[in-house]
Amino acid sequence: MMRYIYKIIASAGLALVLIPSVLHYMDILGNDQMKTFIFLGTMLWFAGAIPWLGRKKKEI
Amino acid sequence: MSNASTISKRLDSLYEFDREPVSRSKLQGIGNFLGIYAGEHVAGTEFVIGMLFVAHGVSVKDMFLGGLIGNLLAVGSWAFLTAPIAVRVRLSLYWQLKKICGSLLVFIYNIVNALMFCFLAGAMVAVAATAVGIPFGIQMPSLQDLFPNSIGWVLTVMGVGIVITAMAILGFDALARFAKVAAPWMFLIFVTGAIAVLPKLGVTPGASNFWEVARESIWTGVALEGQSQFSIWHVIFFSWLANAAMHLGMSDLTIFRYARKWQYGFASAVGMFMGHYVAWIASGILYAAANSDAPGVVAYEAIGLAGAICVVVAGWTTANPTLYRAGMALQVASGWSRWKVTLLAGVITTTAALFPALVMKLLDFVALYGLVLIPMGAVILADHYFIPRLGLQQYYADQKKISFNLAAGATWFIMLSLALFINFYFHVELYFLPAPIWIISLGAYLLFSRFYQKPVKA
Repeated sequence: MMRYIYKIIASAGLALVLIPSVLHYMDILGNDQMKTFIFLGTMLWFAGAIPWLGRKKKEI
Repeated sequence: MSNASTISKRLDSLYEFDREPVSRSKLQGIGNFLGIYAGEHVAGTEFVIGMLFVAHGVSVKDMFLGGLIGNLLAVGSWAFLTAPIAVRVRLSLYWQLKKICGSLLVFIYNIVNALMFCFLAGAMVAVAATAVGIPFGIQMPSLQDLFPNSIGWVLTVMGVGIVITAMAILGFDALARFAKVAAPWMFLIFVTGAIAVLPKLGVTPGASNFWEVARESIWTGVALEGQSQFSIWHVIFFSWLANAAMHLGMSDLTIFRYARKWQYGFASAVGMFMGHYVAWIASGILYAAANSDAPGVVAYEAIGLAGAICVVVAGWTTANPTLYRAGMALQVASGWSRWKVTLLAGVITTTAALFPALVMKLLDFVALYGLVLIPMGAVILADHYFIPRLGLQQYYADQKKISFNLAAGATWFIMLSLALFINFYFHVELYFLPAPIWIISLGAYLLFSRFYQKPVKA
């Protein structure tokens, strides 16, 4: 269950990293707001992705 | 016990876990390889390389077409040269080299590799410092700076170097996992940063003027003052050979020995086209819109704090495994514990990072890095395909129990000397040398082996 929540948080973070710049390009979002949203997206990504993808596992 | 024997035993114990060929039960699916290549090739260096292409006056066509051709060649090199040998032999680079070249020559190769890794990590420490220094208002180095330009720069680099080294000593594994977590986000930061600065460059939605702006304001085809002029050939050769050590140099035998099929070599396309195509294009756009040559400032101006964090993370996560690999090689030479050799690698790395030349001349360094290691890749390929056909002995050092295969050693040293001679006296740029040197190395190893192995056979 927690894994799904982490996935949702991380995915939302990635969306929040990408979408604000597109909105800024389309002149819908100001420069400062865009930067704030991208920063929030960054925090969300790491909050969800570290427990989701950062676990120890055997790899090549 | 002799020195050579001690070194050989230390090397073997370090790589003990992969002494045997990978068994069928341990083979991995394509997903693992896609993940590895996507993660490894979106790194701190991408911030600098795309920027330097713009500074060197690459044109739009050069960047898009040259990058496409060069990256296709790189993918082809992994798929048709590295992966087929890896899946047949299923041994790591170290064990293949040891069987062909002998312990002493592998030891020398490891030390050279370690120094190259330290310089590469140094470039990443410097890249991270350009972001860390922003809040302190330090004077950032410009494209022309080859030496430390301020006390602030020196202190920032030393601070970053100490932190990165300490983290590599205390928690390499955790950091390696963090790097994998950061990779998708880093790629999107490149893309979002490039989109964010498009309005500043004059690209507007509905105007369909991207190519016009790209031609006039980004990839103008005119080099900045003090920078050499690049052509499409520079872009093709650089894109192809930026990771020459991994494909032509055969370092990635270590990865592809786990592949079920040689066709998994095409998984490298993910890394090449995300990291070495999209990210290079994105960092070129970012640079064209910026008022600085420092990657940290460039990213911060575009998308604020997230951009600066990305530069630090990109530099840090690239420097971390690089320091680890350098430490492994130095451990064999010194016999010291892991923390001591990582500290030594960190000191070398941080000292190198003080010189902005390492970042501003990164293209030359990357080309040199490939050039230094690829003759040994040619030796492996020659040993695998051609040595048996000539009636000569494969894995010569292993068969004859020698620690230095003179034919392989001569190939390496003579080819490197030849490359440097051509560079110094005929002014052929480093980017163009790895491919011909690799081909000549193939022939040279076969020729030298013919003479070298003959008396032993007789």
